[in-house]
Amino acid sequence: MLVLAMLARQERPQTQVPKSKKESKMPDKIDQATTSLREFIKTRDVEAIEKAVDSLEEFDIWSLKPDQRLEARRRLLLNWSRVLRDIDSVKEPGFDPEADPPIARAAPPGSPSHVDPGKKVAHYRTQVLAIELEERAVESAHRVVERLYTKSAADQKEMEAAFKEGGLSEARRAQVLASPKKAPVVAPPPEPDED
Amino acid sequence: MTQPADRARREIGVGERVRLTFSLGNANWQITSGGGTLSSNAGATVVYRAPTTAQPVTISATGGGCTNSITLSIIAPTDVRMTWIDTLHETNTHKIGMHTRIFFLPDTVNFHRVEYLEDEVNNRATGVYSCINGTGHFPATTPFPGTTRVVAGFGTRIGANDEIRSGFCNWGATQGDGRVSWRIPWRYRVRGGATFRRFATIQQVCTSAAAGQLRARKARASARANFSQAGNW
Repeated sequence: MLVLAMLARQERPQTQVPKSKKESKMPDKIDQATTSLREFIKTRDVEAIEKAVDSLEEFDIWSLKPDQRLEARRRLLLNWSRVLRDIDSVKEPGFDPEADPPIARAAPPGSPSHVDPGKKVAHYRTQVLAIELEERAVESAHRVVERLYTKSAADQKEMEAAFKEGGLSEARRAQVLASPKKAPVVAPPPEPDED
Repeated sequence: MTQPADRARREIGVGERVRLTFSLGNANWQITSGGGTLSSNAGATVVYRAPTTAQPVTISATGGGCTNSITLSIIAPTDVRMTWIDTLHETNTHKIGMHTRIFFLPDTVNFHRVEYLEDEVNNRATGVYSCINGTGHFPATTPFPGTTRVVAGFGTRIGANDEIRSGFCNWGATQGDGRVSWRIPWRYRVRGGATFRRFATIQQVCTSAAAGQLRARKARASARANFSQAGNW
């Protein structure tokens, strides 16, 4: 997800921030994510995972009172671990979006009729969405580990407990702990292109 | 999304999500002009979801005795770009076509939340293709999704390949001049939305020359073959 910072400049404020109202609302985002992940377990619909990812990305730990943040970070990491576990349960290992995309044609004129590629598109859509969610979840889970946990034994213990409770695989654990990959510089496809 | 690589860009694709952070901590957030939604009206960080149509959007944040605003340009797809994969042709026929990859321009934003449909339209066919004059191109009826991949100069990769076929008359056996073309409206919508919006009209053209040269073109992708050349149809 794109991240933009807004640097404050001095102007007359128009309203006061309603702290108590906001603080009581924020933890709901984690609850919403938990509900969405439960929905996924029932329906196996990858869009339920997307709802959970949306909710977790919208959770703002810094809006909580300091004494609420420790518990919130544990729940946050636990839910990111569950998201990654659920993504792994739908994402086909080695799926390559470029390998065999659906053909955007139902029945070309003068050729044997094709069936409408609806089923193939649905499968492809699920896998493409799983890749997108994986990218977002790994990046966000890494940010939680990097910004909210220290190297102290207590923090590391809590972190590992969240990974374990969330059912995070060893490979995913290593991915979350590693530095995120930089966005690749994507070169144009090397094929003839004429006008 | 990690593509395009510019993480501070102010151009945002329709339906994209952007995390906004106020440098002084907690703030009240407001969309002062334009559309879209904020995940919360208060907080140090909020997530903005862009609307489904192109427009400028201004968002303000007030907190800690200060206020600031940011203006974003919401960008809808403006054009379609294709690249050639393989050529479709059958030996000793005027049948010509190709498979292509599909991209949405511009390449400055990510259209991963966009899906598209082509409209059905009838062609204009002359010469060796004249018997199929007024027939459609049979687009799929299932919307195709965008991917998260953005290629410089090409745009967002769409999760489908296109198939362009000329059609034929007389089993394709006549070598001669001919042309068949479709002007195809393309429509996009943001995933989960109801309304498809037209954003481009793409010309799909196949030609045959008396000397045997065959050509298919669509959205700057092109395939060539010769009447007597071996091929796959």
